[in-house]
Amino acid sequence: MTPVAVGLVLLVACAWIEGASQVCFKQAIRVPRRHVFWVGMGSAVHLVEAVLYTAVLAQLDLSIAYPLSALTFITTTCLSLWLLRETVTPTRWIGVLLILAGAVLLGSSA
Amino acid sequence: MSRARLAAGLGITIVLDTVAQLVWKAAALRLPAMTGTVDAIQAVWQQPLFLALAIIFLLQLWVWLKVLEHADLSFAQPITALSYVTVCGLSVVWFAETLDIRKLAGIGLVLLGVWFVSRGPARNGAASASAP
Repeated sequence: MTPVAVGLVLLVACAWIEGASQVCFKQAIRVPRRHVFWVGMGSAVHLVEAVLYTAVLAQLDLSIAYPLSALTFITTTCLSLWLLRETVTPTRWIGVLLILAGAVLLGSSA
Repeated sequence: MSRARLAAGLGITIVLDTVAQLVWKAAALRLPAMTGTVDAIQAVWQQPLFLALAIIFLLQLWVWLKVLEHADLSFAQPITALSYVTVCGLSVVWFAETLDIRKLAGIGLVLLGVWFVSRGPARNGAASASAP
C-alpha cells in the first residue's frame, strides 16, 4: 500500500478507536463501582489512538486528515447506539450528519 | 447539574480541545523523521510539547467525565464539534487565513448540526436502565 493509503486506513481505525474510548468513559459513569477500571481502559485506548493519529499526521496532509477525523462523530454515535443502547433520535442523527458535512467542508480547505 | 452547568462543561471541553489540536500539530511538526516505533517513542519523550499535551488531556478528561455524568454520549460528543469552528476562527484571527465561501458554509453546517443535536434532551437515557 502507498503511504497515503496506509494513512487513510489508520485514520478510519482512529475514528473507531476514539469512539471505543468514549464508550469506556461513559461506561465509567454508568458503572460507578468499576469507575477506575473503565477510566483506565478509556485512557489506554485513547493513548493508542493518540499514537496512531500522530502517525497519520506524519503521513497525510492536514487537509485530508482533519476533515476525515470528523468520522469520529459517526463512529461514536453508532457505538453509543450499539454498545450503550442510547436512544439516538432522528434529530440527533440529522445533527451529526450536518456536523460531518460541515467539518468536511471546513477541513478540506485547511 | 443544570443545563447551564452542562453548557459550561461542554464549553471548557471545546476550549481545551482547540488548544490540544493546535499544540498537537505543533508537536507533530517538531518531530524528526522517524524510521521505527522505538524512534517515535523516544522522539515523543524528548518533545516537551507532548508533556503539555498530556496535561491538557488530563484536565479535559476530568471535565469530560463531569459532562458525561449528566448527558448521553451521543448528545455531548457531537457538540464538541464546535471546536472545528473555534479552530477555524483562531486561524483567521491569528494566522490571517481568509474566510472563503466554503469555510463559511462549513461553519454554518456545523453550527446547524450542533443546534439540531442540542434541541433534544441531554439524556434520552439507555433503552434499558441497567448497565450491560
